[in-house]
Amino acid sequence: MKVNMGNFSGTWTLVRLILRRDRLILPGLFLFPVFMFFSIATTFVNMYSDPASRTVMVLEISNNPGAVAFLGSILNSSVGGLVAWRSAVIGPILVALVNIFLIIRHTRSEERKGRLELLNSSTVGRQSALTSALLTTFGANILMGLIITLSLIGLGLPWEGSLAMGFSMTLFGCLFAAIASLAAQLTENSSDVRYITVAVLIAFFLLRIVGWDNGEVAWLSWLSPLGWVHYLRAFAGEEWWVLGLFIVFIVFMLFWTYKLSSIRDVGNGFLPQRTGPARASSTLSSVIGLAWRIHRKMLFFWIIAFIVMGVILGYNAQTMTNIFNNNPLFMSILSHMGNGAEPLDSYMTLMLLLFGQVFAIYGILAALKLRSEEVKKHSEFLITNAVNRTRWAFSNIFFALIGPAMLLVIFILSYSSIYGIYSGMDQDLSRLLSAVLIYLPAIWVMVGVAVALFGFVPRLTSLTWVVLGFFSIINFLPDFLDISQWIINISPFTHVPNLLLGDSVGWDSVLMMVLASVLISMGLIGFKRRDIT
Amino acid sequence: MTVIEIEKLTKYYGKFLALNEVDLEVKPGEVYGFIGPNGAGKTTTLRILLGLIRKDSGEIRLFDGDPWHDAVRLHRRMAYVPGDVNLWPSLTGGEVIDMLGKLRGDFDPERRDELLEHFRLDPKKKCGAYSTGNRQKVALISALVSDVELYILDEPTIGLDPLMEVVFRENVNELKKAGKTVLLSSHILSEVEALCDRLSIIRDGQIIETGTFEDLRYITRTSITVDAYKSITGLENLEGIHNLTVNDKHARFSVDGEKIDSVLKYLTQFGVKSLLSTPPTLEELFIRYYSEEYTGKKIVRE
Repeated sequence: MKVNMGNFSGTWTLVRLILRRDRLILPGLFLFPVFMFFSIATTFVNMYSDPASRTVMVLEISNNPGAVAFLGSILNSSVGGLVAWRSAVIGPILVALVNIFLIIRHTRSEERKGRLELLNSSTVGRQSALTSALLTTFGANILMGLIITLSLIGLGLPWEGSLAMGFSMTLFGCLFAAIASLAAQLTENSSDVRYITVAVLIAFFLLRIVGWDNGEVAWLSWLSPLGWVHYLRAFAGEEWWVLGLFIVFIVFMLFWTYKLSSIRDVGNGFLPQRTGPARASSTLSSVIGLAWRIHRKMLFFWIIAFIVMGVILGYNAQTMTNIFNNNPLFMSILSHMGNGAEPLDSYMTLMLLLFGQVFAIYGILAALKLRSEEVKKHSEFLITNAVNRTRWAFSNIFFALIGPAMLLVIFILSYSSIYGIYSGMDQDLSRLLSAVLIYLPAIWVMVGVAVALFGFVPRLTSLTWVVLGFFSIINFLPDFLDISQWIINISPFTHVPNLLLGDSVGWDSVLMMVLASVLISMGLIGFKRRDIT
Repeated sequence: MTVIEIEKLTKYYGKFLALNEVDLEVKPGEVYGFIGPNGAGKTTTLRILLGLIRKDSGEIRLFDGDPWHDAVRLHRRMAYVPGDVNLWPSLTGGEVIDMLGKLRGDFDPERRDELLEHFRLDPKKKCGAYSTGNRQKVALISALVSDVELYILDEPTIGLDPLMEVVFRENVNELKKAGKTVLLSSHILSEVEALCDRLSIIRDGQIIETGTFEDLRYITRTSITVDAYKSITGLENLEGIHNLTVNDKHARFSVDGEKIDSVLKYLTQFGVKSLLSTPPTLEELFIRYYSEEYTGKKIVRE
């Protein structure tokens, strides 16, 4: 390939533009993986400093095919080995998602919005936008790898292993940046680029699971970069040459990216545009049908996520319960929650405590579609048609209310069926179902907060996230922050009874339902009276 | 009986006075032009008319109802094309057209196919993949497909290519023949001139002129180009002459309507060889109203 430097003129200016535009997003996004590594490492350093407790855990994990399939086998029973094992799947996936987002944001989305055309018509080179996006993302990945390495060394882990972890994350990130930039050459639509790249990530994940370490086709995971992270053997006698696989793959991807980018027209892609039906189906003849079309993609995504979550928890339930039982610190945490409860019930209660707010995130996201539909001026088409405002608003709120219920049920079905298959134990499904469904009133209160803000101060709907964040802090860290009880009582999640630990359904839940309906009605009244902006 | 009746309509956005005592009257069967530069208050007026935002004061009647309180009932009798068309990116154009048509009721699939053909729109593409012009077509077809009494079109030809503009004009003329009422907001002057019976000009939230083109022509300047046998002198001393350029026996200027007679009498002394007089186009009309010399009152709430 002949390189014409004119194609790259203005690249540095564009890099500065990206850094300026993303001065908050860039560090914010990369903070996620860094923080994840840091918290996993701190947990293991603090809780498993004793070799005996580690040996017990390694034994547990090695005998749990589910854990080995999803997380890989433990290569070394040192603290570092455990950190590497625990983060070997979730870490790369997080890093990949961050990179996919950034590359699409700065390549195909820019092109789609016509900004690239504006740039290319000036003195900026043909390849400058692509190059600047890659340079910035690669740079950020290197920085991230460095911070991960330093923080692991800082926690007292051996430097070779820390370096291997940092390197692998940097390279995994760059790899997905390269894959996303290649996909961005193929299709015209940003969402198609996202589908293709995430599909590649899922394929790598599946290859890794099918080629799990104790299986007969373990060689399959050599086809997946997720397997390479494992075979790099951080903290277990590093195989540095594996890093070369990443580099070869990255160079290969970049070669094709630039090749395609130099022969295609601005605005076009190589794959044909996807088309859809020319006529509306009968679903689309009502407002609720349209709301379904708007909400279903997000709902499907969450359903799949929580099926997977249920599978993981179901697989791990027994191991985790044993780990809890053998770890005095966990036992003391659990004893706060219920006296003399079954360990398995305590485990599930703890998980629900965590997930309760995650389900609320879905409810809020769905409710805030109201605002995004308004801001994108989609709602105008309906409100200026023969649709009344309340009916339109309610069609969206409906999914914010019913969606979390669906997720809760699906999650618990997935969990209990996998647990049942795996442990061979009978479970009281109705007991589990009621234990999760009792979270609905609290989730609906959060939906109510979102709708009320939407009705009265539409510009401030994102305050809902602040409220949820505040509730999460006071619910997760009450002892740590020494928060007084009346503040803890503000959070609706405080009032959810732990049915598995012997609590019973009380007036609290009824009151929360009333509160939720009051908030939602208020929001609807406010919306009926205000300007559409 | 009027279709739209607006009197002293006023709207503030915070402290900013967006509409200042706007009056507008549209009669049945009329194609009414509503013109003004960007930010003059066209869209604000239309949004109040559609019940999307509330008025602060003044009277507004749409058919026999109030656009805010009777919104849904009134919307069944009208169709709207917004100026800034944003569609659901995951729906195809065909789906949007069908859905909006069915929601309004009385949806005619044959009319739909006819319009798709006229505007040459591929209904199978996702809205997210349409160009601006194609999104505009989707919005236009969604409105035109409905058999209603009133069509409110906010700058409907933005992004349409000249060929499609012709199609659009044909469709508006058809509506006119069928006795429908159309309120067309625009800053494309030739469009308004070609389509509208009457018009109002809005600037800084105030209606500064209302009437037919005949009415407005009366107060505008005529452009005159003249060649004479002798050198032309002294024109600069006459009243009512603007933008004068004289080049010995050749002169170009514009003249206020009421001064044409005296100026022509003055010119004859030089022996007129040829004279070209062009009636004011809407463009000129605009330049006059929006040029620096026009000073409108700006009122800010105390």
